[in-house]
Order: sequence, then structure tokens, then C-alpha cells
Amino acid sequence: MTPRADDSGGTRNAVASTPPGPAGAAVVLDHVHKHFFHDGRPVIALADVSLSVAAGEFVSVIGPSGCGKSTLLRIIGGLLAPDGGRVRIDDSTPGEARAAKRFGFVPQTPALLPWRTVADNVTLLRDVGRRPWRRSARSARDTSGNPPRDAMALLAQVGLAPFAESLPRELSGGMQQRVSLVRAFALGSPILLMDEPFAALDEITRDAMRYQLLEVWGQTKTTVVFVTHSIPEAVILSDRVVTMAARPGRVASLEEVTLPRPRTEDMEDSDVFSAHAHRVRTALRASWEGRDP
Amino acid sequence: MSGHRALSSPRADTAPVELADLRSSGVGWPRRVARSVLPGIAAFAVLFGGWEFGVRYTHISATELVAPSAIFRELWRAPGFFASNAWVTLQEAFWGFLVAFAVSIAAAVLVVHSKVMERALSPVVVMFQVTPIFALAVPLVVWLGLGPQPKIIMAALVTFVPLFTNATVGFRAIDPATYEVMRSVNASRSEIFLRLRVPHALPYLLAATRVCTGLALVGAVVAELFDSSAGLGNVMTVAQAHLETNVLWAAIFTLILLGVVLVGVVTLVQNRLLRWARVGTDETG
Repeated sequence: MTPRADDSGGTRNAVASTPPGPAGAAVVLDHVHKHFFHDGRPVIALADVSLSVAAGEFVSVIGPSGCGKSTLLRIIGGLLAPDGGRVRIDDSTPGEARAAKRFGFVPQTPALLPWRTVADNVTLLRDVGRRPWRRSARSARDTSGNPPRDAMALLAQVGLAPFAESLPRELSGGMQQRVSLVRAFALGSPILLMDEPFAALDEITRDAMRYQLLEVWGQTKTTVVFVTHSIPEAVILSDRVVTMAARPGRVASLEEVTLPRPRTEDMEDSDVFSAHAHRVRTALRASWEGRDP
Repeated sequence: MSGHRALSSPRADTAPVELADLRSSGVGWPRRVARSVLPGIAAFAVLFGGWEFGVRYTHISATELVAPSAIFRELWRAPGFFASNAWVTLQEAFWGFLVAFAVSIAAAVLVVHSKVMERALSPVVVMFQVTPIFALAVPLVVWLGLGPQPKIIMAALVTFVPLFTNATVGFRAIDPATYEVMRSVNASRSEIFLRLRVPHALPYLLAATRVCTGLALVGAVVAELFDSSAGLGNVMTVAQAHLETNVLWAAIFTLILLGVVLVGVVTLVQNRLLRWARVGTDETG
């Protein structure tokens, strides 16, 4: 082992062990338009979508299939370019924010690298951008082979510390998805983009995951844009719920959730929760009925 | 290994992990090895036993078909002779494989990253695929003359298509969601190649290598049949000219043995490198 590798490992850990908690960034979409071509004909995915998310806000986007909510998420994250309108992440474009690693992306599937241990998957995104042939870039571990302390702390928080050295295939689907969440948080980016991260899980696992997500998120000031199909999920997690309508994809309504934080399981039985869920459901139904038959 | 640390932890309460534990702890390794090897040995015993019986107790003459015992006696008589010729063939096959490997990886990288290159190279690959490559042995020898070159080229030609096809499929076998996660932190093409595509291609490339060890040997031998001063193909040609059927068969057996050993080596490498890709959790430790 070269002294150089020792040095860089030590420095990174010093940085990494500072408590997580990046200030969230604000997201502004201004008259955003996006269309795709399907069999040569243009299909409007997003028509004139304007939306702003405050720094540190947890916003859910809910809507029927084909309403463009995933497209919206990808435009915010700089993975897709809008055909019209403007998107700002604080003072930068999505592309610049992406280059500066300001997004943590959580897809619907765990999307873990099967040859990396859980701990090495968690630190993967931090390694991106470093030259992969350098030893220090291949592994974020310290000189005695231990994973970074903050990554281990996050894993411990979701009950996965004993599995840090396991391979993904040794974990259940729910556990893998928790690793995927931890990976996004471990990046320490100010904005988290989640594309139906719990959709593939069973109802019981899903229920527990909501509160684990809230617990980890509660210690950060991260901005979250959370795409979902589930009304209760959207209400219990969010500060605001954005309802979208399809064909063309557009914002149908905004619901401010007044439940206090931290959110608890009991709140799901409260009248306030039911009232919010009811209003979101009504908005969804209206957007559904407004469609052409 | 890593899995076992998880197994001993108090939180190992999930089904997949626990099942693996039960399955691998039940039987000791000598029994497991015996269980995996014995059926193969039995099959060979039946095959060679039947062959030996057929030659001894029917009216096939020894010049037409040699009994396995005579073949083994021939091998035993001059092991150095067969080994040194096998070494020549092995080197030609190895270099041929290496050339094909390098070219196919380079071609696959181009095809995966560029639609134009894909459209340009696909017909060329199809051409190689439909060409009766062994028929090229004679022109190759005429063109490149004596020496190892025509054999190396031949081994490279027969292994190119399987290697290229598997490299292309492997480089493309990445999970779209993982690709998107990598893109979300602005991973470059080269980084996605090194961190995602190469590891994903590894199982494909090793499977192709397994197939190609045999192919490369056959390619080298076929070229040797037509013109060479050494190698197992040369041994076969000379033996045939002198009607030494024993020697001919001994050379074939040497080739088989060589192939079996090589495939075994590749399998070991596969098991070592692809623990993460194994479907069942049957690791030994």
C-alpha cells in the first residue's frame, strides 16, 4: 500500500465523518414543456408545468400512469432536457447541478451493483468522478479495510449494519431498497429525487420503509421530490402533495399537508390525515374524469 | 466469506440467507466433491469400457479402430513427445485466442457506443459467422507459409465470433436503473464502461472463453494438419501417412486432455471471479 493511498483515505474519512446535513436546494420549474415522439407522432408528456419546491421541503408528486411524473423528475435531475420553459436548482441549471453531484437519485428498483458489498454500494456514488484505476477511487474504505463511518452510521439507522459486508443477492428486496436509499443519503447531496422507490415492495415492508425514510431524512435538510402512486404514502411523507393529470401531463392541484413533524404511525388514523387523503383522492379523480374517454 | 459473517449475525433473519446456511452446512466437502465428480468418472468408464470391449470382441481391425488400452499404452511409451507437441499447439491456440479477444473487445466497445459502428460492423461479423473458417486453412498456409502464424490466425478466426457476440451482449447487459443512477451523478461514458459494463460483461466473456478454449485448439490443429513441423496436428498428419493409428489416436487423446485441463482452469477462474453472479448460494466458504 502506497503512502499516497493512505493519505487520501485518511483525508476522505475526516471529511466523511462530519455529520450529514447539507442545506437543501430550491427547485423552480417555470412553464416547462416536454414532448416525445411515438411512432413519429409527438406525444405531449408535460404541458406548461410550473412548480417550485422550497429548500428542505418534502414534496410528493402523485398521478395516474402516463401523467409525466417520472419525466418531471428526470427533467429536474438533468437526465432529460425540457423542450420549453426553464428549470433552476438554486442558481444553477439541472445539468450544472448534476455535474456537481447535487442530486441523489433513488429509482424504483434497488439498482445495486451485484459484485459490490452493501457498504461498497453505499459509497459507490461518491467514488464516481474519481479516476477508477486509482485504488483510492475503487474503494472508499480506510487503510484497515473498514467502510467510512458515516456510511456505517446510515446503514445502522436502517438496521443494515450487520449486512455491510454482504452481497446484494444475500438481502431481501426490502433490504436492498433500503441500501439504495442509504446510498442516496450517503452522497450528501442537497436534493433527493425518488421515483416510486417503494412501489415494488409488499405493503407491510412499504409501510415500515416510510418511517425509516422519514427518520433518516429528518436529520438532514435535504429537499425531496418523491414520485408515488400511493395516496397515504404521499400524505404521510410530504409537506406538499402535487397531483398531476395525464394527456397532456400537467399539475392538477396542490395540497399542503398540515400534519406536524415528526410524523408517526398514529397520524395515519387521524382526521387530519383522512381529510388530506380525501382531498388528494378527489383531485386525482377529477383529473381522471377530465380526460377524454 | 463475506456471506458467513452475515450468517452469524443475530439479525440474519431473512429467508435467502438462512436457506444457504442449511444447504451448505449439511454435507462435508469430501462427500460433496465425490458427489460432483463421481458421475463423470462413471460415464467415462462406461464409454471407454464399451469401446475397449467393442474392439476386442468384434471383428474391427486394430488399424481401423484402436482400443483405448492401446492408445494409453502409446501415450505412456512417449509422454515427452506428445507433451512437447501439445505445448506447440497450446501456444498457437493461446496467442490466437488472445488476438481474437483483443480484437473482439475493441470491436464490441465500438459497437456498443456507436450506432454507425454497429451498422458498419454487424455485416462483417455475419460474414465471419457464415464463412467455413476451417476451409481457410489451406489459403492461410499458402499465404503465411511455415511457422506459427497461420495457426495463430486460424485459432483467432474461429474464436472471434463467439467472443465478439458475448462481449457485445455483456456490455449491454447493464440494468437501466443502475445506469440512470450513475448518470444522475454525471458518470462519464468511460466510467460507466469501467464501473458497469466491464463487470457485467465478465460472466459472458468467461462463458465465451470456456467455449473458445476448445475452438482455439481445434483451429490451431486444423492449420497444423496442412503444413507444420511440430504440434499435435503435425503428429496426426505424419501418423496417418505411416498408418500409425495408435499414434494418431494418442495425439487426439492428448488434445482432449489438453482441452479438459484448460476448461477446468477457466471454470476455476469463473468460480473465483463470479461469486456475486452465482444464482444458487452454494459457495463452499
